[in-house]
Amino acid sequence: MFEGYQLAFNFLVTHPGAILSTLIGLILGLLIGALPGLTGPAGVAMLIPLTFSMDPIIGIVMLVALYCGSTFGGAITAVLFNIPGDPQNACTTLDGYPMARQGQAGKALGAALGGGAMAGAFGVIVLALLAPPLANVGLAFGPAEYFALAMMGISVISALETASVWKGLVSGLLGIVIATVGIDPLTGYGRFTFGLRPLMQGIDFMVVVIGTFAITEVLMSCQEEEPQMESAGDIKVAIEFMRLKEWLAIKWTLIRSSILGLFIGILPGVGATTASFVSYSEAVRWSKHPEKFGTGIVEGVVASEAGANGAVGGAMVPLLALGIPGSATAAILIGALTLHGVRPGPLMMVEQKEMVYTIFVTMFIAYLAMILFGVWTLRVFVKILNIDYSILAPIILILCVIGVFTLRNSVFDVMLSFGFGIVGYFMRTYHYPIAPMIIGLVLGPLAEVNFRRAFIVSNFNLAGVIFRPITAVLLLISLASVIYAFWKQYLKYKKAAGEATLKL
Amino acid sequence: MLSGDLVMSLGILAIALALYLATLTFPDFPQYRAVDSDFWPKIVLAVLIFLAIMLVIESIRKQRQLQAASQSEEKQPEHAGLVRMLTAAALLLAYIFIGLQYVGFVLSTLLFTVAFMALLGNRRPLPLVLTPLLITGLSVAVFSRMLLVPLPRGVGIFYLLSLWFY
Repeated sequence: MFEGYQLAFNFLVTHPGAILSTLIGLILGLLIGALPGLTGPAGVAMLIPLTFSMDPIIGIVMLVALYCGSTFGGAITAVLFNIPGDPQNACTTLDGYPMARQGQAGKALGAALGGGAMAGAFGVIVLALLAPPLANVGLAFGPAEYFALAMMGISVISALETASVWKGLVSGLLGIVIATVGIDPLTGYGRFTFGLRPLMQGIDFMVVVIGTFAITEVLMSCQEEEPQMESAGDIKVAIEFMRLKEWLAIKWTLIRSSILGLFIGILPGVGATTASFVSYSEAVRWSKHPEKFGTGIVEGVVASEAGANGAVGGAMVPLLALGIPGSATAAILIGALTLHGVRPGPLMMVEQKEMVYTIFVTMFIAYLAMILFGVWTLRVFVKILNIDYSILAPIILILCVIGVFTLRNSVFDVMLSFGFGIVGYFMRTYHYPIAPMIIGLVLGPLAEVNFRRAFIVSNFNLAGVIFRPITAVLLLISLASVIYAFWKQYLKYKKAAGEATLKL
Repeated sequence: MLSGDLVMSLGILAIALALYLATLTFPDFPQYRAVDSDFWPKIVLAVLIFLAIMLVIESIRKQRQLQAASQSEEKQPEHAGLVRMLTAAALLLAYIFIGLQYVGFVLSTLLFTVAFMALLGNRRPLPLVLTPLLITGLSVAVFSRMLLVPLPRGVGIFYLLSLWFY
């Protein structure tokens, strides 16, 4: 373990560019998070091509810092304009914006930043403690266990992060289907190519991500009336940090939200958005004065942001230990690793020791720097946030086009990405969640190849695949998450039906 | 009238069925026996077909409920917004299909940016001229010069034109 940190510090000392790229990633992340038209996953995906010419470690470190920054960045817009910059900051608006209207914008931002950075740093520490031993366990995993793990990732996100369970599951399965296009890794046969040669190599996940996140996002924004950035009065705010006494008063909320965020982050598939919603509602439930939430109290802001940022370190645990993404953005990081020639999985901890430990260290640095830069960048941001969408939109689209083009220098890919932009538009319009599709796309091939291998190993005996202790437990968790989600949906349906009959 | 939700679920059902039929044409690889190329797609598509049927049922039921309650089926996006979105999509398509393939990056990006800004209601002359120049210039500088991305050059005279820039 110490050897790993030694490697990391050696790397950082001999490559000063690594710290610089961490800081650049962080600032870009804060900005991408803060811009309402641009979400974290889309931002990470769009900037992957920029890292191609970099040393893999420096490039990945930048993207990870971007992930950290983008998770918090949306809080700035949430507090100042009542528009969450990213979905995970939605709960921050509940108390953050009322505070801003009462002239306490600086205090709300300080609380969000302090709570978020502390939870984030806590998440990184747990990540650094948990990932190496977990990878050791992962080394013992056979194909059957990997299949089960991948299935768990797909089913948990499909079932939990959606309004309609059917639609969530359909989205996840569509991702798996998209992943089967192209050469079958076992037999070498090109599936679902319909005679199109570029499809032989499969549909690159970046093509799908940039299409369904970024291009869809722009199309949706074009359709809406221009979002009015209504600021809460004075936007020349200075961040104001709370005193230690005030922090101590809400210490339990901070601790509870950080831990909740962390655990939800570790669950494969679900990330910061679920984490912040759960930790906000738990904060209300545990509070002695639940009625004050939503009126503008720091506790609400801290609960939401600590949950969201705690989930970042958590989401990196399965990613670095097992090669399974803990969130949608983590799924995109898996793609980035693959593009840089790194094979995600438990062997990363051995083969890429330098990279993994450098990620631990730079993530921690990113959270420390966030407190400093958060204060400093805010002034610049408030100006940038007023940028006209008519200028921002073409910039996003051009970056998307170049980003996809760079993958294989192919205009076909760009066309395909546009197609996924349209698909994403319909999915969003009819409330199909997109994140399950991305997770399905990343985990689908893992599930397929390992399932088939496990089948061959067990001599085509299904029981031999499923009834292994770890596999069975993981599959049961998957099944339970789907059943739980249907049960929750049924309760909601019954409640709605009850209310409807009351009205009549 | 069919609700959009129903059309969407029928569309998914149709795609899943079509792909399932396509798996039947996959060749056999005897050494893989039961876990051949079509093994996994068939399972996934079968589940997808089942889910799509459930979605169709769900959306029919929802539509009936709404009709019974005589509510409008779903919130329609306002007309102007829909036109703006469709124009944006068409512009992007033209930019990729015609622009990148035939006209090359520099000229098509300039035109695309101007058109897109105008579409989103930016009519101030100075930004309309400066922004496209800035965006195009910066992307050529960063991607072509620094990161050595072979940006599309277009064909014929456009190809020759692109040689001036990168």
